[in-house]
Amino acid sequence: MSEMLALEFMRNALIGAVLVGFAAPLVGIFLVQRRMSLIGDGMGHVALAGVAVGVLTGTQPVLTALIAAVLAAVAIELLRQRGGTSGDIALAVMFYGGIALGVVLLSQASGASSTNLTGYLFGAILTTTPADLIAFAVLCTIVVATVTVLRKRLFAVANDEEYSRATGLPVTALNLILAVLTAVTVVVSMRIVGLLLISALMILPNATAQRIGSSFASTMRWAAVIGVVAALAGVVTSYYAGTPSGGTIVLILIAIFLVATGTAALARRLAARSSRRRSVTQRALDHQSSDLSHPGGQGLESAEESR
Amino acid sequence: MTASPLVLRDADFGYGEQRVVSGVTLEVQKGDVVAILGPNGSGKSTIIRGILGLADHLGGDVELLGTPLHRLRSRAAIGYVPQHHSLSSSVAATVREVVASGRLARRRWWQPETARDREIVEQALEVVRLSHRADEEVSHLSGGQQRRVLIARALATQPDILIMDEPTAGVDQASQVVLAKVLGRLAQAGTTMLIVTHELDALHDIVTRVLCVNNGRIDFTGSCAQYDLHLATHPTGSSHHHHDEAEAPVTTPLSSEPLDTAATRQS
Ligand SMILES: Nc1ncnc2c1ncn2[C@@H]1O[C@H](COP(=O)(O)OP(=O)(O)O)[C@@H](O)[C@H]1O
Ligand SMILES: [Mg+2]
Repeated sequence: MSEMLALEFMRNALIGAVLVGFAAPLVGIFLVQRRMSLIGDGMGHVALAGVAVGVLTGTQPVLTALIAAVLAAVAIELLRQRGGTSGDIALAVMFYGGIALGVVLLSQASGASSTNLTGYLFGAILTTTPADLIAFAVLCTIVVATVTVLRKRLFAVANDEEYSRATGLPVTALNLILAVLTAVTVVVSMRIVGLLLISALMILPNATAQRIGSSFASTMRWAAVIGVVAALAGVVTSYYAGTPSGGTIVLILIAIFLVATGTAALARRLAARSSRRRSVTQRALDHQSSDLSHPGGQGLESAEESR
Repeated sequence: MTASPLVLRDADFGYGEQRVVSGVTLEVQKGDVVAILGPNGSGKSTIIRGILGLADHLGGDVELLGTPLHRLRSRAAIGYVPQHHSLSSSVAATVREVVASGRLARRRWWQPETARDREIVEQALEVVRLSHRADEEVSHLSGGQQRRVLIARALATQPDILIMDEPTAGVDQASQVVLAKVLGRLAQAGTTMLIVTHELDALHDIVTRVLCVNNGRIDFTGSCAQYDLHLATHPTGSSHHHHDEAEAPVTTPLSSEPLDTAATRQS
């Protein structure tokens, strides 16, 4: 472990993993809530065109990717508000256009363009430079701060958009903010998990957290914890096993998801069994007492006793 | 505020080009409780949604809280209970979290929730008798209980005008009596209310005005007593109501075992 930490690129990679593992699920939860889980992938496609422009023009690819993703985010949000199937088709055109343009442009770049492409598609966390890290830290701080301050409003709008509009919340502005936060997260995650796996880091921790959390707030906290743990474990594993970081992180996220789902199902089955036993006891009790102010209370205790 | 909370003068509402309701004239005084009656599809929701800015205002004048509708900047003093709840259930949200979202319009975007906000939320939960289920997931409640959550959310806003679209549809008889009492207390406290309903009987004592919509037109406005007379002379027409929603609330198996569910979740 200390041998790994002695390497600067590994330290950078681990810091980057923590940043992204924390920020991505916090944005992703609102996408899950609005059933837009895959929108990040679309933005990732468009970001690739931005990357290519950056590589070709000698500009920072992170910057050009950010510009492309934010523009795509705003366009997506405006299309979504208009609704209808024409919007759906327009999204498809934009997403495939983005990735196709990215691939074609990158092929024109001189030098090691194919390794470049793989790096952006699947993540190249070990090539994270100190400059990258500073940019990621700033962007992640902005994302986390914005979500922290606005989370209740973002929740309300995703939960019931019409009610929010009727009572005067700035729904359009909040939707645009969420879209831009998603774009920023996509670009920051690009180096860590790659453009093709970006949604995984935003969505999978939430899929798991949903099995554990019993409120929106607790689901959100769990998602952030799971994101950080999986990102760190993924980077460490990829170092020792010599596997690509992005794919490793995503496989670990899926493993956590499966374990949580299995455990939750088991817990439910055990609960159902004890409640069946309880309802028998409850019926017996109901004959004696008509106090229904706490219908479950007595039953739970008696189930406990009968164990 | 001396201005009437809501004034409609020959107002038309609809969607896009399509005029669904036309010629609505109504002046609501502070403390009025207006019942909007009418058969399904007559345009009751469209009127309400027009006032709320969710349907298009296509003609005439509307003044809400003393301001013409198109110039209305702050809607924070409006409480709204939608007819069809559109609560997203893809991520767990507790009853308390949903009700607390009723407070958001009352504070600036950068202000955190205060102790006072939390207190008001608890009171709203108390009023609809859902305090003991505050930490449960909304999606685990029955249809009628979910409507009570939406009513609590609107109450948490502490609105100057409370606009409700069939708040008691699908709510069982006992809860309806409770809600009628709640609305009675709010009316006594001077809350202006606009209620689309098919259950005028339960609200008979508190309703000060009745508005009947039929096929996109207002075919009666007057007091409850005048409405009773109107009914006597027009035995059918707008008195012939049906529920928009099925009576039977949907109960998931989980909702009957609150403690049990809570116990497994914590473990
Ligand atoms: N979003 C909409 N777009 C177009 N027409 C609508 C929309 N919503 C409702 N309508 C039409 O408006 C009419 C009145 O509907 P509504 O106001 O919901 O009636 P009510 O609430 O009295 O049952 C109906 O004919 C309905 O088809
Ligand atoms: Mg209606």
